[in-house]
Amino acid sequence: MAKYANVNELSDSQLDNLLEPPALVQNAETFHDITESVCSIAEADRMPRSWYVLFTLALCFLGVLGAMIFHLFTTGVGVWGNNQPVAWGFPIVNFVFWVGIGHAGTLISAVLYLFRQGWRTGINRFSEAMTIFAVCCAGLFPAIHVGRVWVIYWVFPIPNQMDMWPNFRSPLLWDVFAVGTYFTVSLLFWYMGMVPDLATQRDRAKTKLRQFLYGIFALGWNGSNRHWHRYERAYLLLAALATPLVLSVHSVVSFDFAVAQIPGWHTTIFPPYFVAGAIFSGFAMVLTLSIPARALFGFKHIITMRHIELMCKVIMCTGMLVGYAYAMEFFMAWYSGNRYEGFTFVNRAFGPYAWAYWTMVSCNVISPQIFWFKRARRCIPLIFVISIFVNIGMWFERFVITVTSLNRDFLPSSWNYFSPTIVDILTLAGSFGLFFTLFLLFCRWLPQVAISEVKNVMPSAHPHGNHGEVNHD
Amino acid sequence: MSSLNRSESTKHYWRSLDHLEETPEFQEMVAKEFPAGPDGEWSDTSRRRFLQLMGASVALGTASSCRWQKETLMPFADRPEGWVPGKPRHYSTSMEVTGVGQALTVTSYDGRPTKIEGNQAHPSSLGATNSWAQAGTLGLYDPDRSRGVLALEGDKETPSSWKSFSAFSKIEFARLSATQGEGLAIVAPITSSPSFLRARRQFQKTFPKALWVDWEACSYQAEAMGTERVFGKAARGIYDLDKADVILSLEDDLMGTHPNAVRHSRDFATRRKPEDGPMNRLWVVEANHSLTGALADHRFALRSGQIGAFLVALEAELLKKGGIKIPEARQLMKNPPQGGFLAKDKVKALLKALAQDLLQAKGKSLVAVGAHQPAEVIARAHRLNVLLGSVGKTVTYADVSRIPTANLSASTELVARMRQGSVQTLITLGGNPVYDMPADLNFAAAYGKVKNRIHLGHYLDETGVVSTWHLPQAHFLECWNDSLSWNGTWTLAQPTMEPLWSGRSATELLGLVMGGETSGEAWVHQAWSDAGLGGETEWRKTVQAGFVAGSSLETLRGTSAPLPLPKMELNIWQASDSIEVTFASDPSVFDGRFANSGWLQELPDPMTKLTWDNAALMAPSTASALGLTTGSMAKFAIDDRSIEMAVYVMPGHAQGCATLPMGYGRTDAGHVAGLVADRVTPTGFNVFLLRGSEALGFSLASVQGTGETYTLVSTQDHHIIDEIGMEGRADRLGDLVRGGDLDEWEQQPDFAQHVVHHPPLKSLWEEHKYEGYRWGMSIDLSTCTGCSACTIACQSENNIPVVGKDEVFRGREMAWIRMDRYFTGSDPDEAEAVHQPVSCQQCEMAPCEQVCPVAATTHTSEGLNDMVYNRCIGTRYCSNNCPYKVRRFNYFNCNLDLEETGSEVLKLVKNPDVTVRSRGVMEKCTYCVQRIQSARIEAHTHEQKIQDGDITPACAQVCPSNAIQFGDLNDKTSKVRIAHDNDRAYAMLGELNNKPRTAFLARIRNPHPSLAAHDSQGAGEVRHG
Repeated sequence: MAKYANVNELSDSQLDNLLEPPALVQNAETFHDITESVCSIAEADRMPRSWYVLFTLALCFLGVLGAMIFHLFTTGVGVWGNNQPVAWGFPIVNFVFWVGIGHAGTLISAVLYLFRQGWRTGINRFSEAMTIFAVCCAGLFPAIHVGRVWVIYWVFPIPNQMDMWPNFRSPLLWDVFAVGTYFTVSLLFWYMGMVPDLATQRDRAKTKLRQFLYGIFALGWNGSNRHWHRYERAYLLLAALATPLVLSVHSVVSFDFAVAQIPGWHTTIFPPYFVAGAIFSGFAMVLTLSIPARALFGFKHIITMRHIELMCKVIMCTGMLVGYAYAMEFFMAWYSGNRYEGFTFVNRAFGPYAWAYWTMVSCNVISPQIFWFKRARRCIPLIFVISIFVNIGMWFERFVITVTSLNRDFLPSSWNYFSPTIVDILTLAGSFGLFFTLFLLFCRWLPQVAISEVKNVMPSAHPHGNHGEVNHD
Repeated sequence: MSSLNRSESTKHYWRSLDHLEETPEFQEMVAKEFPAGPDGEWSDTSRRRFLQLMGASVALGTASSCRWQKETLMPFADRPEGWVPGKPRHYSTSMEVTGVGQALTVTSYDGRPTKIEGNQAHPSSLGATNSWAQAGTLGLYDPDRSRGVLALEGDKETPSSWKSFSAFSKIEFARLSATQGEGLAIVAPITSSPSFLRARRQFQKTFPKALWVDWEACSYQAEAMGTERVFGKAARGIYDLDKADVILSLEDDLMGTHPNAVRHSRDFATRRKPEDGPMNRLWVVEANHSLTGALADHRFALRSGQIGAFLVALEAELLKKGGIKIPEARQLMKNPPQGGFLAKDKVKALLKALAQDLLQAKGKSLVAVGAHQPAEVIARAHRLNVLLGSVGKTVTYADVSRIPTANLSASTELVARMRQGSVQTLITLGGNPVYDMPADLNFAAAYGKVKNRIHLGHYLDETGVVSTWHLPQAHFLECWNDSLSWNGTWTLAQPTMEPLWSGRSATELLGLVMGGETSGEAWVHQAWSDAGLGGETEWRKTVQAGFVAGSSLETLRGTSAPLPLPKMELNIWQASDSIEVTFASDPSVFDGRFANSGWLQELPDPMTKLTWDNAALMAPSTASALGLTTGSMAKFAIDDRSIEMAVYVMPGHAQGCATLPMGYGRTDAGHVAGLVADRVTPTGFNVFLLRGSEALGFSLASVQGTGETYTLVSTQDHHIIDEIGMEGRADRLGDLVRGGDLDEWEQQPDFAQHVVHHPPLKSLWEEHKYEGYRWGMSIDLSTCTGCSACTIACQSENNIPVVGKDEVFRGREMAWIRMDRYFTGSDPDEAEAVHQPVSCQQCEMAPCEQVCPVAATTHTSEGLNDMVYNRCIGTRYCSNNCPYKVRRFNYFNCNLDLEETGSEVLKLVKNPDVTVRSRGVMEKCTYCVQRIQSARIEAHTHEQKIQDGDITPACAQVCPSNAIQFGDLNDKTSKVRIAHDNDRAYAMLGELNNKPRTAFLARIRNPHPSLAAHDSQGAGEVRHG
């Protein structure tokens, strides 16, 4: 059993070159190494200093979010910059942004699973957690953005004394179902995939409390053949269930816009365009999170350069899909001959919000083009910067769609400029606080990498040689 | 001894360190029964002192209970006959502005007036009103109104009472009557009230030496002087716009700020529907771009000071054509005005066409002139009516010599006397001279030298705060009064409630100081009885009707006597810092008297769309020559007077001049318009600080940008629209506001329906069949004047809150019906304007209904798009999806002011039939569903169908030009159905397949055939979409 003193001291390229062709898991010869490196984090008494710094920061932002919501609830939605005609501003932009981020998780877990993409195992837990927390943030915004938040439950089809059902024709209602379903399935998928790992943590736990808590959540997993069999079946089923959701959630979210008749919203391209954008932003966020995390927690051998390179390729591809959608919108606006549609797009690119539009284009379409170069795909600082750019660009995409379409619609008499208030900005910043607080807690207490799945893609899981990728059955 | 001292038990509880230590101070305090009381107050009370105090207490107790003895409570168990609680009653009354009465009908719920309409039977109203009358109820319940008599000394205000004031006045005026009123002066508002004028005559008999000054800022002596030269007496032109084929307005805002604008709009409208007979033609020459200018078929922008020269040039042109005989013809023909602006080809063509048009329509033409013009110009313009044979046909001249106008010389005299100290007592009968007197007189400084400064006013305003007595004035809905309407109809005003704050009318105050009759009713009744119009029965009938039918002023016939030439200003303005400024009344706050009305402050100016501010209006080219733009601050100076004011670039404004609307910058108006003492910044800028007695109408001023900027807030073009926006707007305007010239309509009457061609609109489902009623509305853009009275009427009827300048800046104004204003034309200096009122179109396939997740906005079986407030959760999706953007959202609780201490009275202004919306709900036009329901109940009681005309929404009811029709579209004979079937009817954005219930009727203009270059708005090429 060869022991490597400290894998984290090796550079990425060194790690990469150790094995040829690049393996999905590097520098960890045994299953135990994997278990050790993942579980030791939750078992450690102290976290790296940077974790505490980040957690404090995240908590501060969470506090800001709480304060802003309190202010909002006690005063009214007028604390934001929303107006007539721009009745939807930051909250809806943030909602779509967070839902989009929440896409990569399911995509990586379910779709790549079904397509037998073995490389997903290094990042899937991570991105699933990200999905859950992003959807939490996303769900927050539609809930708080309504004028009378105390009757928000009317959007749910609850039998009531008024004999009133929600309006099933409204895309907002479809949203409630789509996001609700997505959240439920993602949560189940994430949790179910975690059960064997939770059992590992339970078994390794030293304190009573940990044994008890991990024990509860491990649902009595004992690693028997029967358990594994059922687990694999259920996982496959959930993956099959979750796959259409990847497409449906953001399609439905796009209906909020596409079903409305405002020029700039009323386009059939929206569902695929939104899904591509969601995958794009989701992968960017996975990169933004995993690059520091792998360095911080020592996962460079699990989330390898190959993972990162593959993700860069996905970002470049979806970035071009999104770019195609931008171009196609323009083409259709011209080709349709509809003057309102045509004006909206010219106004988007050259009107008062041109700055937002070109921020979006540079971030989303131009910046990922650098990934054509292999050196760029392997340059960690650059990838980190680009991933941040894409996050910014995708936020602006939603801003451009929501605000620039509304600010100048049909009647010029209503045209108005939307500018956010400080509450808008702090609420957005606060939502990152919520996200990172949850995420850092996850890093602290839960297995960040799917231990059992990573073991599956190690050569030692296939003693008879590397034929095909992963084979669970 | 207190039980506290028996602290022998095992545990010792103490309440302070003093107690613990048992200091002598503590012992003393415990010994006293009332430790906090003033020392020695009670300890050594003598028997005498005790009895004094008790006696006083009993007296005070009894006195306070006395106050309530007068009141008679009436339990509804025994209610008056015919009185149904909650059922509104209607009373006739009137409101007077600058001596012109406006006849009104007031809706009152259980003794609480809530809505004002025009008096349908009255000839000057015919059921409509202007926005000021609409805002009357808010003025009545304004929490800032003064709530009692105040005795003021320096900065100290002592609440007093009418009783103390009468005690004071008894002594003071007895002294004054002994000296025949020496040292007494009155500043009176302009009024035509026969009862007031009777009281005035009596007053002047009692105090013959008293100086009586008539003053109001927007009343012009020049008009009386000018008309005197032609008619021998001060005269007033009563125009019959429905009879005139050609109308020339020389800076007279006939359909805008003219006192008789309501009737003018109605008459004008009858000649603007091409299918109803020959259209008239309106020519307007003016400096500012007014509402009348926006309606014109030909408008020529000219500085106010050049109107006279234009008129003389027109006379010369008419002479040349041999159409009229002018006494000074030879002089004029020998030396006709030429050069300057008259040398422009455009002006030459215009004058030629205008002269030809006036002559062609001889006897059916009409010339109107603005009252702020110099007397020579006014005289000439009215003489032209005599010369063109219009008198008695399209215009009647009435003798108004008995109705006072603002007297500038008397004002000057008064200030001089005040300065000398020869005025001991000055009564201001309701005006605000400290604020609005010409600045050079420096009234305020002289006012301080008067010993007794008695001010009657609705508010403790600029004059009130520096007076010694402030007396609350009764609102027009609280007191008896009368007045003459523009055409001379004697119009009565009866109170609709007891004065809220013990206010009295000017007549009542005069009665009080004379020691005579103090009942307003008695004064009005007496004036009526003196006219010999009948007994008690007739009196009651008159009060019920609200006016004396058939009463009128004496008519005058003019002469064509020679007149002196006015000042001939011909030069074209060259970029310099000297420009002409015209002082104009403001369409919202008039001369500042309506300033503290939130409704009027927030009512967008019909042309600039500015709210909460005034601004110096300038032509685009003038502004750019001066380096100014919308929002720049500029310093205007005349002699040693100067003001700094924000500039608004007004397309179509005349070059080389600026229009300064008066009535803003109030420092002591109230919590709405400005109250410096309470740190409420005044809205807008006070133009009166610039206006001097040398020229009340217009004057030369120097102007210079200060380099600072100011945030002007408008409801349209919230932010400056960039190039792309302007192109996009111009591109679609013709589709939205459709219109064309008369010949276009003659060739193809349904041209408006062919502006946008689209594929057949199909439904995805079987649409609802409307078996019963099918409500609909129509708005005729040809007759709409853009006056915006509908906006205020809707606000009053539907409890629409005021949101304030900051919220309007954010784009959160709440108006359910807004007046969209667009400019057309390629040259911004010669832009034309169109108006389009937009409220909820009640779409058949309403986009808002589809998207609401909780079904809070739904369709009724009669086709209304209902808004269910208590179901709304406020997602605002409906507003996003509304192509007309007519939905309004309560971003905050906009009715919080109702809860503030002292503001509870504002609750009374709310219409009890309409929900007051809470925070977080969407709202919008309902077609006045409460009126539909009440008509339904009424019809149901009588077991019949609702007839056409039974329901009139507030906007339609107030509309002076009858541009809005409402009714059942299923009824083939209803007015609205006829309008929908009109060839001019079109659905705005109909290509979206929304099927709006409101139809617009295309606007038709009637340009002169010889001026073919006139660019028609919209209706150019047909667009397929």
